[in-house]
Amino acid sequence: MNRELALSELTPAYAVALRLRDQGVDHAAIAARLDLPVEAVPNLLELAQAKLDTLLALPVVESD
Amino acid sequence: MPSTASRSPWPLVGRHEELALLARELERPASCGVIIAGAHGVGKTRLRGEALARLRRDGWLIREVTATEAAATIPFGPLAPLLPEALSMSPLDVLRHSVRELRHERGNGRLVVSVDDAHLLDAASSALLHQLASTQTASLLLTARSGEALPDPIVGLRKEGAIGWIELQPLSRTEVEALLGQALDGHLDAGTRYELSRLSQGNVLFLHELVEIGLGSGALAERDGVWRWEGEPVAAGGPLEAIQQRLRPLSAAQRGAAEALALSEPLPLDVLERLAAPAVIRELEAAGVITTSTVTERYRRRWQVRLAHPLYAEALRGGLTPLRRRELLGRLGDALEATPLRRGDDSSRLAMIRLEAGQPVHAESALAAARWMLGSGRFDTAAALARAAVDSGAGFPAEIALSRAMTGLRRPEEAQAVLEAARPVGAAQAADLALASAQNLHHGLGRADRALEVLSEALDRLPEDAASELIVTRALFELSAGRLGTAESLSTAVLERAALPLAAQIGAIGVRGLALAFSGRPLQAVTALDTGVELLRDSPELLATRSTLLTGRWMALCFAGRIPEAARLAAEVHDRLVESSLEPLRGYWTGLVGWAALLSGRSRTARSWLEEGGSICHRYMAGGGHVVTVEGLLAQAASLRGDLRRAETALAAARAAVVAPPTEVPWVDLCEAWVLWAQGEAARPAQAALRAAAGWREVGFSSLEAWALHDAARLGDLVGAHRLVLLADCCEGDLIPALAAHVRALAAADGPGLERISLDFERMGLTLLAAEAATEAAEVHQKAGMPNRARVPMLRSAALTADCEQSGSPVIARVATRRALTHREFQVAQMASGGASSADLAARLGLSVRTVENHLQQAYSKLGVSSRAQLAVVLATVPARVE
Repeated sequence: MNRELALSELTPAYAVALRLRDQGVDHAAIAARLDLPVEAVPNLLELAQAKLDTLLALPVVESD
Repeated sequence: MPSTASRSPWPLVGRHEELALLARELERPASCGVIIAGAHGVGKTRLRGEALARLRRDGWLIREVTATEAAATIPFGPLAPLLPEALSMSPLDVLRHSVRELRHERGNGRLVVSVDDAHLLDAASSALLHQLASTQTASLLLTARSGEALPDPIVGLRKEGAIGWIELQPLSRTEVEALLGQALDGHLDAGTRYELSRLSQGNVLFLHELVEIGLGSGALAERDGVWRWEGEPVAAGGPLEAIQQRLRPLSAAQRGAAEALALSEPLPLDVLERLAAPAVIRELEAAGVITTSTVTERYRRRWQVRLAHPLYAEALRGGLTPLRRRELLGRLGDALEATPLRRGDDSSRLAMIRLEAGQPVHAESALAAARWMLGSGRFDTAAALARAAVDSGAGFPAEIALSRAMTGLRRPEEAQAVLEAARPVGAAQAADLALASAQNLHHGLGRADRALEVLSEALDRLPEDAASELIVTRALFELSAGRLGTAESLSTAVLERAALPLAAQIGAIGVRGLALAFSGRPLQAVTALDTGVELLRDSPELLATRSTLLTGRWMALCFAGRIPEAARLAAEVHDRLVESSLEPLRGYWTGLVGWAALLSGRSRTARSWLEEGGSICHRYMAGGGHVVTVEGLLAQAASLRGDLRRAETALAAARAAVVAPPTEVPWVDLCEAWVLWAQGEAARPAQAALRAAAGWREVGFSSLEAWALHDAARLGDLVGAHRLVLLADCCEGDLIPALAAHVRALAAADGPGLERISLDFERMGLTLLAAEAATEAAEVHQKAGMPNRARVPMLRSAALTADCEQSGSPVIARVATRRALTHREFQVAQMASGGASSADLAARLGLSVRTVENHLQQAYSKLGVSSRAQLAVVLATVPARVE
């Protein structure tokens, strides 16, 4: 699975957080965008990355 | 029973990463614990429960409580179960004493104090928690509702970074689908999975409620091995307390606006502003009941409003009385009519609202809406709209729409009556009438010959510029009648015309592509069809039109031996059809996903998809090629699974659905071959496959003829080998030459050749065929007295077979039979493959251990395996009757 497809499979908040991080946006701005306390952002990014890694590691499923 | 499935606790799915993070947070140096925050119903308490269970297993001492609004009115009330009896103590003494007591209780171990709904804690309790954490007496594991204020001591811990914060998100669509599969312990129809995922938005509580509602009302039920939701997604008045509670504080004005949205969302902001004051809309947005967004249409930005959660709409609609609903629809219709219509489907929406409110409908709006509904396969609504259009004076076009809706509703006689009463004006309308009549005769009444006559008569009297679509339809009917040459020449002739309408152009390319694919020229077919796909590149919304081309492309890819590519195509189109609600087409494409799985040897997966596809096809079609194809495939898949009864009923359904015998009867014959094999017949299976091959030869379907000849060989009759070799010489692509090479190597007992073919099949994604060729190679080597040479293909066969979901195989069964285990050898082998030790077997069979081991050794030797695990794999491919 490619990265863009895997991002689209994530829950929206995770995808938004990772995209903003990739663009160099800081934690405060990510927190503001997602309406979260800034202390929640590091763990949110860690979870988002872990879920993305899980999807990227999946074998390509052809039909089911 | 369904209700049992729902009442038992659901498995924890999609939270693996969260649990790992929780564990890391608690082990972090100087950590005081973790707060799990999230929306109501997202799964905080469930995650906390699982985390506590794991900590308990790891030796932690656990103290847990749940905070409530009532307990919070008393100092230390929520934590009372953890505190000492201290009625006369001051709060400060309670704090000191409690910390001391808990520290004593903990001893040298580790203690976690866990509070569910920590946002409801009183000040004294939260001070105690702060004390426990800051003195390292206990770690905290708290849950809290997102957006709710936490007590200051807890906020202090958070800001110091002493306590970790996990903002729990809803499950993704994939995770929801996995959870549903596990909770219901079965295969869910893709439409149901999509709809439940959409409605729940990944919120586990909502999802659980939806499933409860569905099971309780019987709307969600397992039918033919597939869980499917039939009818409205949520029953009126369903127990959606969480949502009802959230909507209860709305004022009358706010509720009115929300109800209007529930009846027809999304609404343009300017339409909603005609129904509610701007301040009311802003209040709804601030309260999180609605969301606003902008869309760009025709270079202009447009504001649109929708409810924040799909279940709000269900809850609001469920609370409407009929008169209130009618009143709202009337106001909504007025508001829409008073606002300039900017989108193509605005007029359709207006017509449906007017129709439902029982108000007069504008003829053009009703007709546009009827056509829209026809495209979506919602034939009942289409029929109501088309009838309203006829009544409003829309005339001939509305009558055509009505007849098409009747055909879709499987009432072809009524459709024919409407068409016979219609009075076309001009050549274009005459062409439309002929087209609708021919399609109703062909698809609805099963009168293929009469359908062709109607087209011919119209073509004789109509001018050329009105005839393109008629010719394309005729070409398609000629194709299904097995006159490939006529179909190809007609479609080629249409494509040579100047100024051809896009629909006719796409139709002609589709028919020509199919003709090329069936006649053994799949590579030319792919090229031709890709030109059509390219023509539609800028019209992604024309999915139904594109589907014709993609069906041809799918066939061509299979006949070219590019199965994984075909499987990916089927899955992609299927997913887009699920999202676009084009149900009739989804039925066929669901079948194609199943076909791809069957080709790759995964008969269990294939069967699930085919059950689902067949069920959808039957909902929209009385018969015809799609039903014949999908039911026939289902018969094959059920045969390979050993489910004889299902195989027989599916075969009967396929046979009953035949409309065009020349091309469809051979398909039924081929599927019958597999059912006969499953019934244990000796010679008849191969005879049926050869009959199918002869039928396809007659109509020039070379690709399918080759496939049937190869199946006959698999079923034990090599009489078609020579013909297959001839076909391979004149067919394109990798598949047919490989099939021919396989049969040739088999006839010549060419072991190395069979090994090569096995690799070719595996590369093409034909895993079961690859396993069969490897098995045959091993058998040839064994017979030639080269057991060592046989070892590699036999192990390869076992490995490939392991990927085939225990599909039955005539080839592997035949080889196993030829190796003929004795009854005792088979008995011992079977028991040993289930994990029993030799000593157990000896005791159970009344034999000595040495005798058991001798039998087992004989079985290993005959089956070419060397371990119990391999034994289990090989035995799984042997049908019961061989035993």
